[in-house]
Amino acid sequence: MPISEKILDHINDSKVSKEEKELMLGILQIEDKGSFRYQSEYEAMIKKFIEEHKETT
Amino acid sequence: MSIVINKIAFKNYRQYGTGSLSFNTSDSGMLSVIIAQNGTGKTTILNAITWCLYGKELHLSDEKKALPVVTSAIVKNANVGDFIPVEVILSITDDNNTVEFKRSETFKIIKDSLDNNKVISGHSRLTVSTTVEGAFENTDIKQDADADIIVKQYFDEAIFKFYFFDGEKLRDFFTASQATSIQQSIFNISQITLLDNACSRLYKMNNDRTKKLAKSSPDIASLNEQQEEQQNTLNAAEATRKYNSDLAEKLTKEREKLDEILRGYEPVKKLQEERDILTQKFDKAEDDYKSFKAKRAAFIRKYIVLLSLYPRIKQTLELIKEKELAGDLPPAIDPDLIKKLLKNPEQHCPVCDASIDETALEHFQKLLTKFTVSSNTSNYLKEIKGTLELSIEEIGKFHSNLDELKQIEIDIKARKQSSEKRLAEISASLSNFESLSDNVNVSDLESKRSNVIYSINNANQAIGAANVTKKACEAELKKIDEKRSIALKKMDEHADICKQVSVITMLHSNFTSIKNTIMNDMKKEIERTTWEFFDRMIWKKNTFGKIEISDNYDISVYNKEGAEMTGSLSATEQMALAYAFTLAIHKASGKNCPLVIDSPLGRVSDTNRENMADALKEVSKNKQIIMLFTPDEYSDEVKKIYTGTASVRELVLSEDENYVEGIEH
Repeated sequence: MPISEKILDHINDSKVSKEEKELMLGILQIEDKGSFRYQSEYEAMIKKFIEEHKETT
Repeated sequence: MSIVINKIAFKNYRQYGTGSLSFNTSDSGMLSVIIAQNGTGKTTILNAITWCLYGKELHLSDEKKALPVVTSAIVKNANVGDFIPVEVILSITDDNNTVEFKRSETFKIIKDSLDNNKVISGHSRLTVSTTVEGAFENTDIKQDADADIIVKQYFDEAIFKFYFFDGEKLRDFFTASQATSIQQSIFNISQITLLDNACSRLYKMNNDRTKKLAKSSPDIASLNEQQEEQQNTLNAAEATRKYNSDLAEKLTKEREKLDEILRGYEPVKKLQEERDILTQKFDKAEDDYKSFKAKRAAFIRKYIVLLSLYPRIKQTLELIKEKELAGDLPPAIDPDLIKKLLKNPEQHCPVCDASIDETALEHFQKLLTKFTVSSNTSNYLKEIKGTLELSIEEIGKFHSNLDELKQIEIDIKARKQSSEKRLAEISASLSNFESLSDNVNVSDLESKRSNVIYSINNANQAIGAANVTKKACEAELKKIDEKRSIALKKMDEHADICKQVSVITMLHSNFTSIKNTIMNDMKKEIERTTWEFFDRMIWKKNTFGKIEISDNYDISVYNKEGAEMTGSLSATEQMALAYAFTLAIHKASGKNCPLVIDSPLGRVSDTNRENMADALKEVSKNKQIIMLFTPDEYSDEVKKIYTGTASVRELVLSEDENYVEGIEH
């Protein structure tokens, strides 16, 4: 199910970088696929973010 | 996000049989009115929806005493053993997605004790198909538990009353037990639960990582200290070695000078020359002894292995000989040579030079066959036979080799001793020599020489010790390096884990903040919106002061004086409050879900009815409302309000009262 507009608005208003906002949305989308499932996808997404933003993390 | 019900389709379902109901979902208004007498099947529409979504008909007066969902007329006319499939399909549109919820169950016809047809139910299955607009080839289909998750996201059963509204059962609305499930369901619908689950998971991930960091924290500083210590010791040993090496070199030159002087002094020249030769012999003996020690070590290594394996070698050789006698081993001939001879029989035998006749060819063939049929083991045994025999031979030489070594040692030691003895004699002689010249004091020179030799020996010993220390330090440094590589690798992992913790903390913190903000805002919004709708619907304008909703979503109404009066509300006021709260929840959840209301104005009278009807019409401009009226409820006043806005249809029962008429087929 799509993430609600309210949550999307709050993510956009967060005081974080654009990439971090994309990460937040990606994480929620994985959580939405199944609560407490798809753990490997969660981990992979976080590791990928760190890999792609080595200079800022 | 707007959700609208496009259609409800039935197959063999109760009095609806097989057909469908489509609903107004145009932009001009999303109000649908269905008018039907009591008993026709209005409430059955609500039951069809809940049966489809939840597998239960939640609007039955008594579930246990209800007829099965199969159309009664079909059951009556079926044959025993027939299978009757029943389906209800609810099609909705959610922004760009079309979602179809399909419940199906198959019933089998049997006879009851009175010889009437009855049904036994089979397995009920829910299938949810989601299609993105225009992308029909990408329909996502979920079933059973996965389908239930989607139902929960759209129409959580815990608060089905807030979607499929039964105007006649308001009493259940505001009980304490409802409050908790209302809160949980609001959280589910508004995806606060989603944020909460994400926070829980991230919190656990952080905990796991923090524990890992604590365990794997490498002690690089300690390793560095150890390394420094060892390096210092190594440097000191090297300095000692160099110092003593330089000293030994310097002392050796000194000794050579002294030897030169003594050599140049005629009375002792011969003695010195003899000493020079003896020194060379002694040094040679020392070198020979070093070689001997290496040879002895090799001897020991060789014979430790041979002697320990001797019984096995002997046994294997005996086995080989047995097999040889039995003819089990392949012949000791080159098979390639035989193959060559077989191909070129005109050649002569390379062994005896005889010509190769039929008998010889037959013999060659047999030999080749022996090679071919021999097992790998047999071939291997044949190959190692030579080596084993050599080993036995070597073992046989053990004693003689040992004796030889002993003799070598004796000889070397004898040479050393003999040289040493004579050198000592020469030294003693020179020490006591009375010089005839004032320029050359032989005993003095000899004394100096002895001291120099003594110092050289000390220096050499120190060099030996330093080398041993160096070797030990180097080994230790290597170990420290290895430990440090592992620790540094762990530190890289450590750094990686720290980065992950940082990112996870950011996610957790932001999600928590968003969740809390949405929760607080939602409660206030529900409070405010409930009051707005309630105030619009109710005719009393000077009585009610405010509405409050607790953190648990308990709803309270206060009069203008601030006194709570929730328990004193009239039936109409309760209905208005229920509507107001429902609409407020829908609005606050961020999902614009449809309302299906049975008897929407049943308990409402007079002006309130028009107020409420008008308020609902207003709401339907942005939200789909499907209302199921009895003809009495759909009074002229109400009709006036809805004409031109709502799509209205009437349902009636067929003459035999088996089917509802007025639906699409």
